[in-house]
Amino acid sequence: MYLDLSDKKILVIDDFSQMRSSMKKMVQSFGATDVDDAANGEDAVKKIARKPYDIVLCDYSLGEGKDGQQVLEESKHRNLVKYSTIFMMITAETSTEMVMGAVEYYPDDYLTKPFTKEVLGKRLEKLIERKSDFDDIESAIHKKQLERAIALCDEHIGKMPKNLLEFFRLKTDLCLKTGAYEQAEAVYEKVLAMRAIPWAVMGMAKVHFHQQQYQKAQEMLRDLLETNDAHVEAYDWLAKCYDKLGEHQQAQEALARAAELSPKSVLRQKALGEIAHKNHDLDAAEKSYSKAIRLGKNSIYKSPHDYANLSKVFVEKDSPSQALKVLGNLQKEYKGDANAGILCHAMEGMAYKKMNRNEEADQAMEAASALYEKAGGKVPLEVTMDVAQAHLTLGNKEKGNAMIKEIVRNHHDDEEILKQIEGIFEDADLEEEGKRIISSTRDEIIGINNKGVTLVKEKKLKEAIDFFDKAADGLPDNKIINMNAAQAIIMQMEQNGSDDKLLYQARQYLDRVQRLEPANMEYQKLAKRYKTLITAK
Amino acid sequence: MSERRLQANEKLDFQTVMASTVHDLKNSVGMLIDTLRDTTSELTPQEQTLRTRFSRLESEAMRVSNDLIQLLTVYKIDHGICSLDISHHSVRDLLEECMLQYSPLIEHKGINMYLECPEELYWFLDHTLVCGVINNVLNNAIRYTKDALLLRGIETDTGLVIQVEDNGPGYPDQLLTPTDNNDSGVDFSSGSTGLGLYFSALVAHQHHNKGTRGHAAIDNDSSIGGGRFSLFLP
Repeated sequence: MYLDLSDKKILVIDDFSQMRSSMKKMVQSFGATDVDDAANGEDAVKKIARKPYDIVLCDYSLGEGKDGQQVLEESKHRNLVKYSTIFMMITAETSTEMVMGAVEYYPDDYLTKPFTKEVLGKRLEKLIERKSDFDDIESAIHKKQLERAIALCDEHIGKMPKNLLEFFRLKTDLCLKTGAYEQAEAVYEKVLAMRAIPWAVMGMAKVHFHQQQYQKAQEMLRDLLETNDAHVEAYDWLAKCYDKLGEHQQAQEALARAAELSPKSVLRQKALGEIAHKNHDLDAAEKSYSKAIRLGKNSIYKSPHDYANLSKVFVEKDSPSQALKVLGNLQKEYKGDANAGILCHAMEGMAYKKMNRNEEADQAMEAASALYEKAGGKVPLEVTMDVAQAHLTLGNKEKGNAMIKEIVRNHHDDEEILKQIEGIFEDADLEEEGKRIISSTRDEIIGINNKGVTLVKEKKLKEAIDFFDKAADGLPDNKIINMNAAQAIIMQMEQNGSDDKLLYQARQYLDRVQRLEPANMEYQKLAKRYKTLITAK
Repeated sequence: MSERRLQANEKLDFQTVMASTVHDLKNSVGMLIDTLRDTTSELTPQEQTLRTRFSRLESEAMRVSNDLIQLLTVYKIDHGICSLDISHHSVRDLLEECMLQYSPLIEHKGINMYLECPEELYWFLDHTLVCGVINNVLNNAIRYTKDALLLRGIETDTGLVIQVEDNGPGYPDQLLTPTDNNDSGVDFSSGSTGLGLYFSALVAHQHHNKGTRGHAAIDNDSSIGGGRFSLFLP
């Protein structure tokens, strides 16, 4: 075996000092000299933030505090590790339990204990080779240049490497992220003709789902589960299909199974809580939200919303005093957090209302509104929704409706969000009025956009730019309007040459879209055209 | 003071208790093996007797560990909580890794290892499960072989064949003749529980492709003169 770790910075994480020293000795036997160790997750994250490690060997179970998966999630989510860093998860598990727990972030490899130093060496050797095979693609992904990453995959595939299927898999993942479903479908078809590999079946089902063929997707997933009834991701997607097909009860059951199979996954508990809540299965919702709070304690997925949701469940269960207790915990956990403060007061308002303590309810809502105003438009969408819901529940229709309209104006093409808003109106017994507000606001924005697009089509670019400029000003979070604003400016420059002012203007709109949806295919194309203009200058 | 009265809960079935106990045991044995290897690596070349004893300990501990892993996996497959993770793997890498898991033992016993597997052979399989099978077979082979082991991976018309051969006395007759009688029960005296073979067959069976399922077999047709284990994966 030829493995030289002498130029690698390595971090070893394990709560047992004997394991730490044993692993350190192993990597040192391959020439490593720069080896640090950490005895718990918190210390590990601190060390990872301070030093650009090349290799992280992390035990999954780390006693109290963060576990290995949470260290990984935080390192990747906060961009603490380089894209080229090898993150290896060491587990005592014999099967894929850990893999199943993961939803978003995966380590580069899992290694089962106990292992000899030779096995570790061999794995590291393979991983270093693999990382260098994928270096160019991963670098592009890291820079969020997904279209380029796909092109690079194609380049590799053209060379028919021995790990061809890995490139296929990565390419399809990227295609799904950017919405290039037909491209993904073509690859899946190729792979499935060879063999019904679970990831390809899964991928094909996702393609069907995105193409709104929910029935077809659902059938594929059920077939997959027929032969592999512990495939947890299949349950996640099956639930999504059922939800779209209006089979909410079955969606809940599928998610319950997924949560059962990956008992430590915070995200699945949240999702299960939400669907149970929607199904008015309040006991199940209470259980899942409570679990999400407990599991999320040391996780990046910890969120004040879990508390807010749990308090809502208690209000609906006619236990407003329980709700207030939950909100007390929320306040304790999130001292000084503006968004948590807004949420907390708004939910208090709903709890007091339920107790018929109207004066206190109004005071709470006033406090929520004051904090909301102070935040000056920097409040996340979910918080705004909850505050709007509280206003509507307490009968402050004017304030509630105004907030909802603002949301619709900025998200007029997002079906999920519009559906959630419908739900809020339903809960407040304002179904009809809600539908009217949604559709009129939506029409208003569509009208604005169409007018701008018409100007572009009529080649009145200057007018179009002025028009979109004004529109985008009032709709900073509307993807389509901002994208079209950028496009009009870019077209103008492509035809008549670029200038600094226009470049700056376009950049601002593009930045907004990037913040909202970095993987958007249309955005990526625009960003490319923008770059051409810059380099041509 | 609050008191929690401990009861033999009827709903907690034996299998669940056993599975969680096995899980716990497995982790303990894992720690034991780690410590043992660590201690062995600190021995001086003069301490040969100690080295031999430690090696014996390691071999037995690995045997226990493999058995526990198999028990747990059988339990999981049985209860539908074992997710099959089929991907495209280099067969040579997999076999090499299994071999390396035993390198301290192989080295100590002075066994000659041979690996016959083309570099470019890739196959669809569950890495963890197949490694579990091979590790178990290897442990036995190391125990019974004279001085040589052969690991082979080849592609045939019907699929992938992985073989482990040794040059020991071969499998005893009572293992080679299939027993159909269900009343035989568990034979505690022979030291062979049948778990290993059952596990191999189960893992092979989990692998299927276009209507064909995998299987496992043993015979004494080893090219180097002892027992031969074969795993067929479609």
